[in-house]
Amino acid sequence: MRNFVSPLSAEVLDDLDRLTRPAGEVGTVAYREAMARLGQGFVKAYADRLRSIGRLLLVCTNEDADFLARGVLDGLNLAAIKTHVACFWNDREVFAGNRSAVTADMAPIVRRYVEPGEVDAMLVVKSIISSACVVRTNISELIYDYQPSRVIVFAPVVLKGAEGRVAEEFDEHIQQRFEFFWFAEDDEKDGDNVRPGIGGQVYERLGIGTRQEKNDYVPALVKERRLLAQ
Amino acid sequence: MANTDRQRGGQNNKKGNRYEDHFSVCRCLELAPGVMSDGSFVSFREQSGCIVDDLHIRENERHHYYQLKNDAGITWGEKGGKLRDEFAEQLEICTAAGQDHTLTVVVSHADRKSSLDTNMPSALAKRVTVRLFAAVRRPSELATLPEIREVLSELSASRTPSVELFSGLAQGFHLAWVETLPGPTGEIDLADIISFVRDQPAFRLRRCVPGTIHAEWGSFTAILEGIPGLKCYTDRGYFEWECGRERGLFPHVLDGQDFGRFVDRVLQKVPETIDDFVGLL
Repeated sequence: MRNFVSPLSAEVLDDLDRLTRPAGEVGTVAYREAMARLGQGFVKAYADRLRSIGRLLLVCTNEDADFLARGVLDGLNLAAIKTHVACFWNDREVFAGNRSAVTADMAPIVRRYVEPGEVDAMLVVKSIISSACVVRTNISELIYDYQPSRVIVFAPVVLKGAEGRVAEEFDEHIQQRFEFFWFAEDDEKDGDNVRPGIGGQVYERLGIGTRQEKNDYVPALVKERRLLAQ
Repeated sequence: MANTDRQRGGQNNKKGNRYEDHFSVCRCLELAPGVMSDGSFVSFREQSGCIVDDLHIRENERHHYYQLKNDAGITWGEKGGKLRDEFAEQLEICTAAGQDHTLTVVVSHADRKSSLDTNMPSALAKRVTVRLFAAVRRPSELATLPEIREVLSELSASRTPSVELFSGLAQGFHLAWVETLPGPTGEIDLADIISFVRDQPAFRLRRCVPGTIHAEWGSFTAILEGIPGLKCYTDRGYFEWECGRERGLFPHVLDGQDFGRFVDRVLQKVPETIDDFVGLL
């Protein structure tokens, strides 16, 4: 079952629906565009809130950088909100014990691009939050160094309970800094995929390869910002 | 020195996420550098049957005895002076045996440490230590404890480790602690725990640099030295690089096939810019 936050614009509802449709109906280009529009839609909906916070550090994964995060960044630029960018390339590893119920659920960072500078808040964007391992990892990578007063987490779609799974890793004084935004919340999961979620594995739908291949993808966003810094 | 009446199932009691497990993992981390660098022998045993027996660590010829109290009200005198008497008896046994030893009460509350330090029975003064070890909810939280940050840095495969890398190490040692079987004497050899962690590169435990990494290693490093701004390191057994705002840790070991193929790609393509280089990772 899917719950939506309300009110949502017709455009956001259309794009959420587009993500769930099979690849044969919604191809890579249309899927990418829908992700970017959802990013812009988030900023449009919450521009005043975001503007009131001050300097932002936009945090994303390499697979989201050119699409969802690009949409968010475009929206922030339009709203004249000063933003730094951090991008992470995460692996995913789950080790289950043979003798116990202990597991090590990890999203090791194999590579990172982080722009320096003072920030007031981290804005963490992710196409979908399910186990929350990647989001938790990337927040913990930065939060102790940057000490932002707010941590805003946005995903167009989340699996029910995602907020708790993100926050549980952190002490209460850090948990108090979190704010969560999502458009749709699903409560079903089939293996690794949330149903209807975002129509499967995001890197495959975005056309940047399999889970094993996706870390080869270097976002244009990173290349552009690297050039700007020179 | 074992008191079999006191044994309560030894390793079978291991549940994985107890205060005792987290403290044991903490001690594994603290003692691992010695095992890795100079081959120290360190073994762990829970419920060893000694008087002070929550955890017994043997570090070469030295014995460390721990009683763990995740208890907001613990005092020397409670339950008829049980804690006081146990430590006094263990001290007497160790002294009579001429054993090189330490005795430690581990508590999870700062006020209990203060109370036990202040009210230490005179017979135990300067012979027993009270250590504060805060309770954590999960092993990854060990990564944020200030007292083990230095050792985590030392153990890390990265020269500039962050909480994320520390968390991976803590989770790796925790899983290894739970999964490693004790030997015939009931002891868990820390070297076995380290091997378990080292076998999974995702935990990113520092390794020795292999004698030979690649037959054309010199050509490989010469190519990388020609890329403006790129700095590379291999002194922790993994390939780590940084360039301006970017940095990375190659997720496979230096002497493995995956890294070998990366070296081959660099030798073949001869990258001249950071863009070229990252495209080959």
